[in-house]
Amino acid sequence: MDIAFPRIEPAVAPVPFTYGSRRTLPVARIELGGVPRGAAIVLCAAGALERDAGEVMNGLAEKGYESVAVDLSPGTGAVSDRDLLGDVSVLMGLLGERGWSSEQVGLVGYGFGGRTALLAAAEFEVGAAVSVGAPLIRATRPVKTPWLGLFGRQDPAAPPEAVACLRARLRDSPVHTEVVTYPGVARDFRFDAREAQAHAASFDVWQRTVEWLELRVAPRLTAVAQKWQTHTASGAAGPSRV
Amino acid sequence: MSDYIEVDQEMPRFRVNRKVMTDPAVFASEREQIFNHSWLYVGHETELAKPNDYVTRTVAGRPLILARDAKGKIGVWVNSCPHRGAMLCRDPKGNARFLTCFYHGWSFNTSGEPVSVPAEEGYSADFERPGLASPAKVESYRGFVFVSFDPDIVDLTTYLAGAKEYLDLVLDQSEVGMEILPGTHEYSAKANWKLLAENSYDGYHLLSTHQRYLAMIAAAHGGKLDVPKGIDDTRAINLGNGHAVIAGSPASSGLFGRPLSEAAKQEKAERFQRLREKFGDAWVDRMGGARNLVIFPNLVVIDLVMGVVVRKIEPVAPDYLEVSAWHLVPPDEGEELHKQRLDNFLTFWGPGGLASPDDVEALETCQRSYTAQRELPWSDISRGLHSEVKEMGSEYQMRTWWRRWHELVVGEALPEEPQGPLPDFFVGQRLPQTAAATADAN
Ligand code: FES
Ligand SMILES: [Fe+2]
Repeated sequence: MDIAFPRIEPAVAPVPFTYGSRRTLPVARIELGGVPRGAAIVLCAAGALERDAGEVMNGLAEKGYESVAVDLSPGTGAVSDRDLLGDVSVLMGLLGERGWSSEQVGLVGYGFGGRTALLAAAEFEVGAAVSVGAPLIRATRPVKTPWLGLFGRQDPAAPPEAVACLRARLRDSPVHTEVVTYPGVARDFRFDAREAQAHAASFDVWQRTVEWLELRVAPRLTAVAQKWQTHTASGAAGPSRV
Repeated sequence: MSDYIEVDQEMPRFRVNRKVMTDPAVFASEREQIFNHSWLYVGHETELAKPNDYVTRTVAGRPLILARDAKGKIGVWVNSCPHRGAMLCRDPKGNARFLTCFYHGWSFNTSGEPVSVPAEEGYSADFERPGLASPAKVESYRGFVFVSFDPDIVDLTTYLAGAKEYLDLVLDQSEVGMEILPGTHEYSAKANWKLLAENSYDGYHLLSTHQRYLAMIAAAHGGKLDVPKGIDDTRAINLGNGHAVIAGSPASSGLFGRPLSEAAKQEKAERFQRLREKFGDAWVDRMGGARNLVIFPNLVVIDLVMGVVVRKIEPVAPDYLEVSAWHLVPPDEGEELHKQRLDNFLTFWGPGGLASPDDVEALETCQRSYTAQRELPWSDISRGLHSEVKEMGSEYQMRTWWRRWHELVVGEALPEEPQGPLPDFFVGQRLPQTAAATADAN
């Protein structure tokens, strides 16, 4: 992520979550010029907005994604899963104001945010969703959004049996899902790059995250592409399909 | 008659010139006359469980993508970017809503439509963006997806002719629809592709070539192989359009596989009992016999009832072929029966199993010896030609294949060969079904 792109400082401003948890929380945003590739919602791990958001959002910006980032963890209060889903729709609304439709949005969550991303994948149809090191939810529902789960095998909140169970449960989903686990690492492995296994895992996690979005988040069509749609000589019509 | 096949009606004798196994000109005309004008198997719909799942395949030399689009429809696309040709999918399988070419970055969706072009200002506003190309025809029969590069070919069902009934005998073995297991056996042989087509329903070689496998099965059964009674009562049957099958008597499938526990035997008997109620005795009796089916030109379905392999033969060069093989299973079967299947798939058919390597060795030595075709120009395929009863050790099934080959490559029909009426067992029909009962899940 540290090639020669200029770093963009996310703009952080308080946003009232008018439904969902009805809190006012700081939201970081990176907006891009031109025609960006897509948009992302970054759901940070508890307490990690300042530490992580800038890094992840810049990584996504390099791939052409605008993003908003927030830490939805409850702090000292209590927030229900329902509230969290409401909070996610507030964030989708923010992106909607920038013209992004739901299929053009990817969800990327870490830790607590990873858990929220999985909940949201079961509730909403967006382009793609990725959860990194999410504490596992009991009896997860099948998802509606293609979901990728990345877990450290030493993470006490995501023991192997629970991950296996999740994997089996998600097989009933109407969309593609994938679960990848990393040996020798726990939860916060993205940030400890000195240890070889953690370094390898954090590299692979980022690679897979970006690829997952690239393969599924619908691109915003440029004006020329929109015009072109009327001039499309598509092989798609006719006998090519069963 | 041609230089390639010689039929002596008096003797009688049927011989194939070994030149057809080595000559690049023959190989080229097979590509054109056979592979550009047949229905060719690509894959099975159950290989694509979710929207935007895809697999890549090579069919008649062409790289193809078999994909389920975002709405669930199955399509086949040429795996080549319409820009300048780079391959869009370089993995054997995957899931992607958008296929992006790694060369210049054009992207397409799984319905073959163009999605985006980087730096598009470089094209005029009227530029017509190409979608993905596709074979002229795509059709499927109960999950088996075929393509044809001939826009004027007959529909798939007509093409399958009598082979359809034998696919039904395989596909009716599950109450919820037969499924391909994930994973492919891939191997190759330094041999002409036609040698493997012949070998795939050669009933004559079992005892000699496959001693090793039979010895293993005998050992698993406590040292002796109970050859079931009536095992010889088998037939080679011409199914039209070059397709043929060797079909076993009800006893034939008992020869294969490691022994089962009483509980598994019981489960199997109950499964078949339920099928009897649904399809009738005549059909299920037939179902219980083993069958080796070759759908012209290169699709093989071998059904030993306790295990089914679907095998696609890809000619690469006159002396080189590639095989892709899949395991078709009833997902509604219990664990032990499933295990017996997996075991047979590995130990009999697997590229490192106890049978396939022996076949490959046989074919490769045939091919190597064809360098001596001046001294020995002909291979003999006359077995069973003198009799109207075509038992499965005859070579009638191969002659059926070769007659079709000759018709397409040489453009001339060879004399037909009369087959006597089949015993009742081989013609039993399925009880009439409502459409829903035989329409498979996908
Ligand atoms: S060859 Fe595919 S984009 Fe150029
Ligand atoms: Fe064999």
